[in-house]
Parts: sequence; C-alpha cells; structure tokens
Amino acid sequence: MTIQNGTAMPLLSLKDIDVRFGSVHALRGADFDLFPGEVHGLLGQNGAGKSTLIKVISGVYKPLSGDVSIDGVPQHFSSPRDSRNAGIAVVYQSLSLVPSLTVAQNLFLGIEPSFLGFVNSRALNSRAREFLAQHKLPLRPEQLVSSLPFAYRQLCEIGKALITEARILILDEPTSSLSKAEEPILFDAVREATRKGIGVIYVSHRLSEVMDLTDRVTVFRDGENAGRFNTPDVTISQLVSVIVGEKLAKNVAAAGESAKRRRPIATNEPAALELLNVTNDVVSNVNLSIQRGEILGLIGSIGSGRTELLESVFGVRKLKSGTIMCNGKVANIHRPQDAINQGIKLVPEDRHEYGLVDDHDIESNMTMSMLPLLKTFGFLFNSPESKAFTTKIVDRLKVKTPSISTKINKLSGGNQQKVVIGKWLGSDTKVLLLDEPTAGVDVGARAEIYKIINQLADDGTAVLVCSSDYDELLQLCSRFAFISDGAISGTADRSQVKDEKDLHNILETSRGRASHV
Amino acid sequence: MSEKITTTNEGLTLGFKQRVVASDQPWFLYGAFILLVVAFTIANPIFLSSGNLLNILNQTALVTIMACGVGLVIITGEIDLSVGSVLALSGVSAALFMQGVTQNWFLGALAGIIVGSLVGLVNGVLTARFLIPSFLVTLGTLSVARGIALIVTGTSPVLVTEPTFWAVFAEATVLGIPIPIVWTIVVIAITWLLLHFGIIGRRIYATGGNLSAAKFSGINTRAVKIFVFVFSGALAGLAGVIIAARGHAIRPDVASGIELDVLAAVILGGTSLFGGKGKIYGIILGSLIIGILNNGLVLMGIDPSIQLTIKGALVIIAVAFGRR
Repeated sequence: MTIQNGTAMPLLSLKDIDVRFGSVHALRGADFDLFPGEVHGLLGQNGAGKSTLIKVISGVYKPLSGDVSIDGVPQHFSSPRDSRNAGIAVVYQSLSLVPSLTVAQNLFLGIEPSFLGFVNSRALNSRAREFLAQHKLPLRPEQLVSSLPFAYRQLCEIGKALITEARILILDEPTSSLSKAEEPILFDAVREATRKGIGVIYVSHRLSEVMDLTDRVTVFRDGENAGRFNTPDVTISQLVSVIVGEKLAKNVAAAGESAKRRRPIATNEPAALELLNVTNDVVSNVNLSIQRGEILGLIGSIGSGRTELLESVFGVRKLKSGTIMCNGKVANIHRPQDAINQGIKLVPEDRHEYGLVDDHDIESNMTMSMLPLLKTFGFLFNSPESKAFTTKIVDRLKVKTPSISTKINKLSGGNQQKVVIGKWLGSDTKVLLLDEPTAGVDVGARAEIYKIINQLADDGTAVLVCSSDYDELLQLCSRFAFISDGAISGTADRSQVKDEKDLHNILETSRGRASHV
Repeated sequence: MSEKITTTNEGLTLGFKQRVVASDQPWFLYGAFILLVVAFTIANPIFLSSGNLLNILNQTALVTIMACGVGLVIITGEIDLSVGSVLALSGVSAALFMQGVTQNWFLGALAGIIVGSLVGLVNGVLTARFLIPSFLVTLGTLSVARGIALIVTGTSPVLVTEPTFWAVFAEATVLGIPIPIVWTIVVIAITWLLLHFGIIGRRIYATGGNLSAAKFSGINTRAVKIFVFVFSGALAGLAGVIIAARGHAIRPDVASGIELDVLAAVILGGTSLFGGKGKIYGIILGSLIIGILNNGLVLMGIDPSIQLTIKGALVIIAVAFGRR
C-alpha cells in the first residue's frame, strides 16, 4: 500500500500536543499523524506518553495546547463521546462485550433492528451475517461470545467498532492475551480494515508483531517524540534502542548472550524437577526434566496445555496419573501448599486474577505466601519481621514504590510483576514456574525482570518459562520444549535456534509430526 | 526519568479516583456517631448520664460480640445471616443441658458455645467444601436452628436456676462494670489479636481480597472460611449463654431479627461486603451506633415498629455509603 507522499491529507493529525498533570509534563510538543489505510505503530515504555496520547485522541484528556484535526478540520473533543462521533473507536480487550449474548446481539447492542419494541432476531442475525462477510470477519452471528477464544472476541470488538462506521481504530495491546497461533486471525482483520481505508493506531510492547503489521511507527520517550520510521527501514534492535535509550538496549542484548552460555549447574545429580507421564484433563503423558540452574522455555499456543501443565505441577489442577519428582524423590502434590513445601513456586499468567490482591498493600501481598515462616510463637504475627522481609525483597528486586504500604493498584505493571515474583523469594525456591512473566510489562522493567530470573537460575533455581513472546524466550532460555494438543512434541537446545522464525518452524513441524503418530 | 512520569501520572489519576470513591470512611462513621449523641442528648438529657451510657454498653454487648464474628465472615467475602437463631439454639441448649445433665455453670455454658460452633461448622463446610453460597446456607440454617430450638423446647421457655451462671454471664460486676461488658471486651481483644496480629488475620484478608490469589499463594482458603464460620457460631453461642443468664430463662423465639442489628453494625463499621476490607474499630463503632440508636429511639418514646423501619433504612444507607 502507498501512503504519506507528503501531499495527501492525513486522516488524523496531532500537532504540538502538551498535557500536564500537576507538575508532571506527560506530553511535550507531541506530534502524530495517521493516513487512511495505514497501520501506524505507537511504541514507548510505560509512562512514555503513549496512553496519554491515546486518551487525547479518544477525548478523555484535553490537551493544554496543540491541535487535533481530522481530515484537516480542527477538533475540540470535550468527551469520549465527541471523539466517537468523529469516527474514532478504541478497541478494548473484550471489555465492552456481554459474554452471555451472541455475536450478533453484541454487534447490534443498543441498535437492534426491532418492531414495536421487540427485537427482530431473524433480521438481527442476517444483518450481522452480512456485516461480518463484508468485513471478512470469521465469526458466526449465533455464536455465544463466552464460547469464543480470545482472538475471536477481539474480532467481535473490532466488528463493534466498525459497525458504528469508525474510520480510526485504536488497538491498545491487542495481542497481550493471544497466543502466537491466534495472532494472524487478528492481523488479518486489521489488514482487511485498512483495505477499506480505515486508519489503525497500533499500540504494542511486542516489537516482532509491530514489524509484521505496521506501515510506520512512532516512538515516544519521556513524553516526547523520539523517532518516526517507515517500518521496512528499521530493525527491531534499532527500535529497542530508540524506545529505551542506548544504555538499556545493551542490557537486553546481554540477556540473550547469557542464555546461550547458560548450562545446568550439575548434570550428574537428579533433576530439580522431573515429570513422568504427567496426565491431567488437558495434557497427557508429559515427560520433562529441568536441572538446577537451567531455564527451560515451554512453547505452545494458548489451549496447548502449557498453563494447565504448570497448574498441575503447582497443585491447583488435579493430576490424573503420572509422577512429579523433585531432586530424585517422588513429590505428592495435591494443593499449592504441597508444592510450596517442595520449593516449587508458580508465577501465574494473570497477576490480577491469581497473583495479587490489587487493593491491598505491597507488604500484605508479598507476605501472603509465606505466613507460616513469619509466625513467632504459635500464631502471633510478627509485624516488624514482615516489614523487614518486604523491604529486603523490594530493594533486591528494585520495585519502584514510595513505600511498602503502597497499594498494588498504584504500581506499574512491571512493579506489580516484581511483587508477584518477590512473593516467592522468602523461602528456598528450587523450581520457579513462570507463566507469561512479562505480560503488560514495558521494555525497561522487562530487562530488570530478566535479570532477576537469570540471577535466580545462577543461584541454582530450575526455571520453567511459558511465554507467547518468542523474543523473550530466546533471551532467557537455555533449552526449549514444545507442547501442542496437550503433548510434548519436541525439544531443542538454545544453540540449535537462531531466531524467532526457527522456534516457530520447530513448533509447526513438531506439531505436524505429533498429529501423524 | 520516564519512571518518574509513570508513577506520578498513575498516582494522580488513581489517587483522585480513590479519594472520591473509596474515601476510607471514618469521618462518616465518627460524624454519624457524634451527630447521634448530640441529637439524643438534646432530645432527652438523661441520654448522656453515666447510668444510661453503661446501660447502652450492656444492651449492645450481644450485638458487639456477634458483630465480631460476623465481621470476620464478611471480611472473608462470605456472610452469616444465622447468628440470631444460633444464639437462640445455643442459649436453649445451655439451659436444657443444665436442667437435664449437670448443674455445673461452666459445662452448661460450654455446651451452648459448642452447639453454636457446630452450627458454624455446618455453615462453613457447606459454604467452603460444597460451594453453596453462604447467603443461602446461612439463610437455611437461620430457619433450621430456630426450628430445632422450638422443637426441643416444645416452644416454651426453659428456666435457668443456677445462680453462678447468672452471675458469671449477666449479673456480676468487675470494678463496677457489668460483666456482659467485660465479656464484650474479652471478645473484642481476641478478635483484634486474631485479625491484626494473627496469621489467620492475614489469611482472612487475603481470602476475602482475592480468593484465587490466596489459593495460588498456598493459603488453605477452605480452612480459613470454615474457621470464620465456626468463630461466628461460637460467639453467637456465647451471646445465647449471656441472654439465658440475663433472663434466668430463655425463650426459643428470643432475639429474632437481631441479625439485622449485627449486620448493620458490621456494615456501618466500614466492612466491605465484597470482602478483604474491614477493621475491628469500625465494627465496634458500628455496634455502638446501633446501640445508641436503639437506646435513643426508646428514650425518645418512638414506636418499636418505627424503630425497625429506621434501622432497616440505615443498613441500606450504610451499604450505599460504604460501597467500595
């Protein structure tokens, strides 16, 4: 597609936008533009000004100064409604869908074809079918949203935006809950939308998909424009340097190097964790072993059974058969407490759902998992000790917070994730299971989390990482195991793998092989 | 550099939201408290006499004791509607036990408290093990416990003839303080220790704050829930014993509807019905407000039916204000 020849009128243009919160200058002279039919990536760390810019575009914030115009016409949004009426739609992560309704009912929510106040469901479904076909969205009108996988729910969200005749779509971290295999479904829908002349603003932390999908990228750093590129002209590592600045970029590269060098601490001793024919309601006959000091990456799409496997090892999902061995001894794990006693810890996929009490403070979250260790005589709780422990971990993991009595929901995603990891550092951690350890974490904090994980492995912890972010796995892992349809389909050493493409290929070919057998 | 913007930026937006929506409500509580005292004193100066104040504390003892138990249940994210009936069944059990088995005041009281704990155990197991919503479970046991109390007594009052029992639970004074108030202080102290210093307290907050996260942190959330229901049942049992001692007899239909006062006290005290939030001082203050309201409305000569209406409305208002 051809775009921005300098003379074409941008669909959306922002010039010299200033936004202040008290003494904080959230945006300083920010510029941004979007052409019809373009996917424009918006990059930057948390706090760089991306979300503020999105909120200016969607009418949530009013800029202190600067111009917003659509088709060259100056706009003054005073509410999100104004922005919506101007044809701007923000696609949230299935927040605006009613799960108990069908796709068609969701699409036409509030604008149902009706007769005398009764919904005409036949017309509803046929119009929905027509609309979905027109936009090439692979959804059936009668499907219940609750029965849809995440990727398709997002398509439904996009459909909802398109049905209101939006011309500018804003996708904010749309793939953070999608697996690698599901991403193309979303990307196809985005490309289809651009073919109709819709402009898409694409916000993501995942650079590989930004490279795949976008035509241009704009990077923000510290509230200012840090760079704008035609996507074909840049590489991921160049983008990383612009996003984080020079110094941090080196850290990220260094992490990948250490993964290549990483070796198990001792190969002659029994594995820290060994799974023998582990079977539950999703996975079957999984055999895996991890040595002390090793970081094993478990690669598979959502629904492959990777999360469910971790849950069984941690004792939250019932084991049907098979054995879990710790340091050569059979471990009977029926509840999380059993796993914790064996030194097996899980950092779950969704930290808000399973990891944290969002409106409690750091201290009570951090100590939640280790209350038995903090008790003094019998049952009395020793508060100074719990504070000292929390302070120690907060310092060690460099959690950025005013105090340990700050509530979790006031921390950034990266710092929240550090608290979830920190929860497990009070007692001896032999095996650390990490499920999507950096979901919704910005690049800078990501490097710090990698450092923490590497440090733990250096100290002799066996680490198992599940991630949809192949770049992350390449940076961390010394070995890979591939899982599809609930079975391990192959393994690979870090030295056998050059880049993300290799991982992708191995997963696909091993999956093919597994289904043959 | 960028980090500074992150924290301050989010701090600003969230901080503002928090201040508006979640204004931790002591000011509301203290305000209501002071307003009530002033209003009732103006209406009837007897209100502020030391005799009447002790009387209020004595009358409120039962509500405060049960509010401590129900408070823990609500912080865990569950609810206990059965306390009024458990009180009756426990009081009746204690009285019958002393009539039929032994005159011993201690064993009699123990029997009452054990019966209360057992009903709590049933509530806890049905809720935590069989995953029946506690709202339904305790609505059921509210009826079942009252029914059993009526059956075993043949619907007539049971006499309590043991003077030591009267003294220990209702009539003695310690340093001039009526003994039900002393029992209340003991219960508050235990609850305070458990909630703010006990490991169980942290577990209660975690379970109510985010059940899944608590489970994933290795907390046995079932055991936590069963514990709070048993605790609540035991305290309702103690309240039943006190009521039996106070009247030298107990009617099986005693204290019906008292669960409304208890719930009102807990909710008025700022305990979140969604779980994870609540403080012991809030529960005490909530109980006092209910006690003062009951006493003041009586002193003002207001009709009991109107009192009932006012208290019901107050619960709704408290929930509306306290919703977070």
